[in-house]
Amino acid sequence: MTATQAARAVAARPIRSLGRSTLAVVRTVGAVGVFAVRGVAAALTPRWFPNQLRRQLVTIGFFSLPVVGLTAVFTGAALALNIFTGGGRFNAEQVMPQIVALGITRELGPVLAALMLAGRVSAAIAAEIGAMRATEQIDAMRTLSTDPFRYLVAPRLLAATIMLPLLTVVADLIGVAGGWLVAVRVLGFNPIVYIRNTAAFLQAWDVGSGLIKAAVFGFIVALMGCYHGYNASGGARGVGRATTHAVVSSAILIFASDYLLTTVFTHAS
Amino acid sequence: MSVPTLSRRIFPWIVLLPSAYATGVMAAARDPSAEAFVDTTARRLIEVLADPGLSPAAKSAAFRSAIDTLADVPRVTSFVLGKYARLLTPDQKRRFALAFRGYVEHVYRARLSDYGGERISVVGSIVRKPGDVIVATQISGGQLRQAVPVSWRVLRSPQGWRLVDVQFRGVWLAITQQQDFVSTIDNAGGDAEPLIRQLQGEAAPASSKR
Amino acid sequence: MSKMNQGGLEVGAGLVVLALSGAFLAYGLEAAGPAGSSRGYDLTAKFGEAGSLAPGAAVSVAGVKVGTVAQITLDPKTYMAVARLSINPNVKLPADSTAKITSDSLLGGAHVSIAPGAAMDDIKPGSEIDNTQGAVDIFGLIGSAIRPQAPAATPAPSTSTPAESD
Repeated sequence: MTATQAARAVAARPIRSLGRSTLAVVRTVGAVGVFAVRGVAAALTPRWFPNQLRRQLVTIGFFSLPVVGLTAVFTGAALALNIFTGGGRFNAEQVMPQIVALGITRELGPVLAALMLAGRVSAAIAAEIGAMRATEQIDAMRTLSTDPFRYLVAPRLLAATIMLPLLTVVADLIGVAGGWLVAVRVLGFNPIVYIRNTAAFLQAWDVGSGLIKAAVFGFIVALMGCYHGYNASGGARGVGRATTHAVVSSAILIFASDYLLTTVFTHAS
Repeated sequence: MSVPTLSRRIFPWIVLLPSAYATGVMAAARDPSAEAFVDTTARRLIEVLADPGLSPAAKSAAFRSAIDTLADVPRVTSFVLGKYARLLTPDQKRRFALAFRGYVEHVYRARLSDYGGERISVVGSIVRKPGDVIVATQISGGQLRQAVPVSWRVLRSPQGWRLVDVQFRGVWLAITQQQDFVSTIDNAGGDAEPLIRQLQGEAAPASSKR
Repeated sequence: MSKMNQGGLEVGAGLVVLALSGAFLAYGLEAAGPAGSSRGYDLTAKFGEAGSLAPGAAVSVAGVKVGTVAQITLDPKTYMAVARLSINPNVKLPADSTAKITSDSLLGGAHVSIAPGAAMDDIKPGSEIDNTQGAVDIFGLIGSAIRPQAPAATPAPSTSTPAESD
């Protein structure tokens, strides 16, 4: 190679790597999109596997209750204390119950429940499906003409999309209860007046928008778990990597979609 | 809006209208005879206060006799004792009645010398129940920059309407006095003597101390 | 074996969370509904100003809670605030008692305090407390005392305040 040719090769290196990573990102987005479409198609058309769906509903829904409950009660209590402090700067402590309820139903209930599920469910799905991929069970499934999308992905997508709103209802109740406990025991609020003020202030849309968010988040959590698990490669270490990627990408997508949805809902109400 | 605010905003305008119209708009539950009583009472008292020919002592005497006919003094005296009204001995009740009377007159004596031409006008009334009416008035003019709303609670008795309480800035004075006296007796362990002595001390003769 | 135990523990924990949220929901629905329990008798009191009194607030005598405020409505004829009080059936009040709206602190906690009178007979269930004192604007009173309308009170003739007060 001549000197100019060598210099041109060195200069092109950063541009080449930038191009390469951009293409990689676009390819990933496309892959996830295709995966999502295949999964939704499998979920909405027969053939279904009701036993799988039932198992996933219980695993994703019922067994996530303790962690969601714990998250909600402490969040509600801490939020109540902080809003009370903030309200105190305006001599508006009495408005704390309403603000706490609004924050929990519109934002903290769905988001924190989804984050807890991202850590728990998304990782578990990625590990489970990744292990099946690593032990070639998915290929075996195909040879037995069982579509892995119908058997593995669809039940999880459906279960998470259905269960996370229900978990959010529990999170909302327990979060408000946590705020109520702190208010009555520590801050001296009248227990009945607290509840009445909360009930009079909350609108159906506050709770409803939270539930819509939760359904979207549930879909994201299951999708990321399934996608990374399905595409795991490299044996056991690959499964571990898939788990990590599932959790991180779930969390990021949850936050991003939360902002988008909140913007839409704020303009809609 | 509360009634006092309503009165302040709207009733002053109604006062300008012919009184025949007043029964229409806001006055779903008014009592004209109670209002007339307060109006007449106010005029009588102001006549006494504004009369330049009367000495301060004569004014006090005229006020005192007016109070007896216009207010239900036994009822108010009993009321301000609250739950202790039946627990005092007859002798204590008699001494309390005298001390309370003296205390009230002592307060009025200071106010009477302040009179600077203020006028009272009736602006409306509320019927709490038949025979129990709150008459709303405004005191204006004289040294007042702004009209002051004052309400009078009157009860119908066989001898006609009688005044039982006055409301100033949202506070009913007989109720407040009851709270004051009852807690004084409570703090003395149920003994009314300290209260009677305090009231007698307040009304020390020929003293303008407050 | 330990996995089964852990499974049982998880199921138990899940049930506990469901039970707690259900219990709170039931409590909330009951508290948010029409206030006042089925036992207890009703009394009414008409106030000129209800202030921040709300249904569910306590009714007390000598600082002891004896009932709750069941409902607050507006009388369409007199524009007074009519409060329906649900009183503990064991508590009897003399007929000439006084009902006052007071607060726990300067910034809130409005409730009804009843000062008993000395009448021989008691208020009948369903009837009205005649003597009432509505919510008072404390800061307004303090302000008017600190800055009276005319020059401050002195023993001399140039005293302040309206002609009629006690």
